[in-house]
Amino acid sequence: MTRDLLALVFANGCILAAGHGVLRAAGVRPALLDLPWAFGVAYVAGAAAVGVIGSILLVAGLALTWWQLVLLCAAILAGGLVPGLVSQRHKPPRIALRPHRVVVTGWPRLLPPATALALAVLAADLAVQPLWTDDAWSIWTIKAASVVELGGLDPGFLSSAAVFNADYPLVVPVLELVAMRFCGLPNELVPLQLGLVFLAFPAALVALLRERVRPVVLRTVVLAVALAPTLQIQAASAVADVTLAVFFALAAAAGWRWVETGESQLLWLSGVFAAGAIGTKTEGLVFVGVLVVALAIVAGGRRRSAQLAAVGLAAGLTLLPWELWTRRHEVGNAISGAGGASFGPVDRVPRAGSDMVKELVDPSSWLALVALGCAAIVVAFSRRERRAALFTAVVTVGCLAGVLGAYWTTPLDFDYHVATSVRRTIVAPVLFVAAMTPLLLGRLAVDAQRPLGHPRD
Amino acid sequence: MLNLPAHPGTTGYALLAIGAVAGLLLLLFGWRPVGATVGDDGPLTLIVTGTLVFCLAGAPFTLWRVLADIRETAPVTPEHAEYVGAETKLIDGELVRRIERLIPREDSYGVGVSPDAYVEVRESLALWLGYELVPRRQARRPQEAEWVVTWGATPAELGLRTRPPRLVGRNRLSDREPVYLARTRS
Repeated sequence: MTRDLLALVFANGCILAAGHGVLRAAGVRPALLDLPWAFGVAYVAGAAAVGVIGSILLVAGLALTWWQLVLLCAAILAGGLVPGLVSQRHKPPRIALRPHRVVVTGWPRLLPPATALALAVLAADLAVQPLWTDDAWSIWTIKAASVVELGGLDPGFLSSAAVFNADYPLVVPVLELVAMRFCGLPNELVPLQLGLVFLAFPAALVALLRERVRPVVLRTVVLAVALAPTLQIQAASAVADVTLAVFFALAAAAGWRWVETGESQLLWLSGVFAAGAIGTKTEGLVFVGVLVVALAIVAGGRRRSAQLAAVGLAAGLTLLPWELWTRRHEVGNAISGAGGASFGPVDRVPRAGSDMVKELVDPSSWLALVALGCAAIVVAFSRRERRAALFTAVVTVGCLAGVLGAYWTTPLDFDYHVATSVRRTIVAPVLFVAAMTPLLLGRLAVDAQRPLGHPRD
Repeated sequence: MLNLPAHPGTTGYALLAIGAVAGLLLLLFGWRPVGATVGDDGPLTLIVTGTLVFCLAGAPFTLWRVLADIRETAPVTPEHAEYVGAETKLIDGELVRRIERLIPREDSYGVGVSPDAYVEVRESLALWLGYELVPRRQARRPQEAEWVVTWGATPAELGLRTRPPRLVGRNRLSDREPVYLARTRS
């Protein structure tokens, strides 16, 4: 176990390094004093990049052995560092080492340690958690295990009856492969490996928003995220929904910051997270589509719309190799196996909608998180943050409508489909609202235009 | 979480009560400090205080549940952890391990389950075998495979024509139903 944990630390150090490369490639250079927070955003960016590029490499025929994963991370890091080193000869560094700081005094200083405590307890639980939920082993881990056993993606195996929803995207299996390649197959550290993305989320959100919003609001939101029981439980279940939610929420937060500041590095960062969301689950494509349309509306201007379209298209195209591969090898899923989606009785919409609302208002699942998000939208709408409130509400409703559409058109047993999935499918919209909440409530009076990593002049 | 307490129990209710009292105290005495921090903004004070009250009220119970899960789950050995997922579906993982040793890695297999088996087994057996028997391929129709695994009935009882089946063992997790492995005639 100790050896495996050390191997996992090394592997995730590589992902962190890759994430640093992603930040540098996007043009973000966090100040040294901000490193604790920047680790969070770098880790999630690294996981998205490794997951997305790793998926493409699997389709290209690689087996993603441990040394290939190390090389992949090194290549991503170099891709971010080398252009910067070359350009430094000609231009002075844009980023100083002293970050802008909002001084926090009094009781709000207790909130980060409380968040860290909640996350540490969850991390301990992830470390002892076996792989036991049926979705985890029948959809995701089986693919990673088959790559290890068969030396890469095997169309014969994936199109056999052994794999459930075999055409689901590959980011989660690639992240699980990291644990398997470095710790051996089988190993019980897969839930911890997958859960690290959620453990990094609070720090990532702080890194993206800390210089834009009031610390007390931001710290309250991340504490509420860390304590939400259903997020803890689902993170420990080694299913893809929390991973999707983290990528999507950060894509939205970075995208919104781009709308505010016009800094293209935030748009590129948003694109990396969006690609991660698209490559994690099928509904990620719908969610990101809604997000891109909403961002285009609020961003305005032909040049910005073109930038956004380019990034959105690039994020979407990362899924194309896998889509082509699955079609070529006739790899399907439960929906296609049951005859494909088609509109069912209309009464499914209110029935599924009512189940979604029941889940959303259940405080034993979310504690204060959903109520906080709703209150933030209402308060922001009544103030000067009306545009942000409208954006948050429209994207949330759009995502929930997408989920509702999936239930309306499901060829599977409707009641069974809803009962077994509604708790998971609403996670991404809820985490999106949580990520937007500090922006809705906590605008700092000054310095709203400065992006991540830029110091105050 | 594998061993999350299904019910709060005495400890859980006590922690919920403690959390509720702490939340109430925060609501009564935390209002002003929170208001001072957020700049005497009434709605924002209400939202931040309300969120913190919920967090404080729920935190002791929420964290205790996770700690209880850690306490119960940590003793699971790595060997047991590999098939604990099967056990949650009433499938004897050790029996599947025996089947794994009997079917060559490059062969294919099909699955048949008695209609009398528990619904968990009927719904999940093929999926668990798919995961546990990687890299062996699972045929969509058992007759097309080189091997057939049947659970709770012989292949013949399920209408499958095979060579004489071998009793692999009996499921210890439900009604000790028999589990067979047979080569198909093809």
